[in-house]
Amino acid sequence: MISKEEIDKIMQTEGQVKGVVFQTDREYVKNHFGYEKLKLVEQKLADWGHPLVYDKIQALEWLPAGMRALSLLAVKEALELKDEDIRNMGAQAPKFSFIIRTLLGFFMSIEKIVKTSPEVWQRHWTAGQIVPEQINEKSITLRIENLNLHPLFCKYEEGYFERIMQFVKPESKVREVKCAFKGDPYHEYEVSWK
Amino acid sequence: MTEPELELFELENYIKDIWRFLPVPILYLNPLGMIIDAGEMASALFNLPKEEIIGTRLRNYFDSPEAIVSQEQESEKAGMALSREAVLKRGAPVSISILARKDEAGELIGFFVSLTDLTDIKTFQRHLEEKNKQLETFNAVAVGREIKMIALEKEVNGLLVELGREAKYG
Repeated sequence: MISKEEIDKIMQTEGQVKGVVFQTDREYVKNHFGYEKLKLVEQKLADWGHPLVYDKIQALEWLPAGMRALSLLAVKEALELKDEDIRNMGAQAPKFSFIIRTLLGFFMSIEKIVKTSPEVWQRHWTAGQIVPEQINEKSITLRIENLNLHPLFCKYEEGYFERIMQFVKPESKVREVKCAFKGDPYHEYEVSWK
Repeated sequence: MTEPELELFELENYIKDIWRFLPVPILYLNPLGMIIDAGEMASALFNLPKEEIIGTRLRNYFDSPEAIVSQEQESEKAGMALSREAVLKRGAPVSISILARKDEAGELIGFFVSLTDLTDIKTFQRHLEEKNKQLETFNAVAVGREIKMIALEKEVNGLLVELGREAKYG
């Protein structure tokens, strides 16, 4: 159970995130657990003092960056999920988001991903930045700098990046190899494929 | 939202409504042949929820994946490749049309694919072919019988005339 102090700290994160990411949370909960469970998630957020009505969120509106983590934490707690379930939620997100699927048209190769993902990140976030780097012909790293929301968000992003990469390399696997919550200066995800 | 964002929002809703409405199975693929979007009727054709279709390769649903790859390549060269027949792994025959999308620089950015389930049409076609075969057989028998009747009437007339009587059949 998250404490009020943790919630306050998360909400102090500077920056904003596009509403589309919350729409994917909504679609995931509705599709996997039903509309009534979405109401439980909303109640959890209201109890925490940061209410959100998912049906009213517009894809292009900006919300506080901290709400990204709170939405995931509310889903996890209200529905009694495990971290792996949240990772799976990240993996499902591209399937539910019209905007993300449209942007996937730009990701036709690893080179394009390396070249365009910073710009794509900026379409969704005013906080942090993503720094991709091609390591060799079978792996790249994705580094997220200056955005430390919550370890649960790290798990979500792991699943999310894996799914995105699988649109280009179906056998891609992603794991977080560096984490700011473990003392590293940033979050780094290693993407590899056969 | 700013005015451009509002316009984008309305455009997104417009496109979403079109995808929901499409009465024919339609898919959108990335240049690698991966399904990026699917209309509701595509779900019904593949018998899978849309979210399970997205992220899979179109060719994997067919008996002959290489034919699908070939059609994708053809549409990339010619702009589109229309009305090719193929068979889904579950046995349903379909007609596939593919349109290649390119950007201003002429680079391939995706494919629109429409699928038409030909199961009912093929069943009806087989039924018509069967009926036609039966009619041809009946016709052959009927014509043969008629020819035989004419020959018999001629023979009878001949015999009657030999007996000094009048021909009976005109």
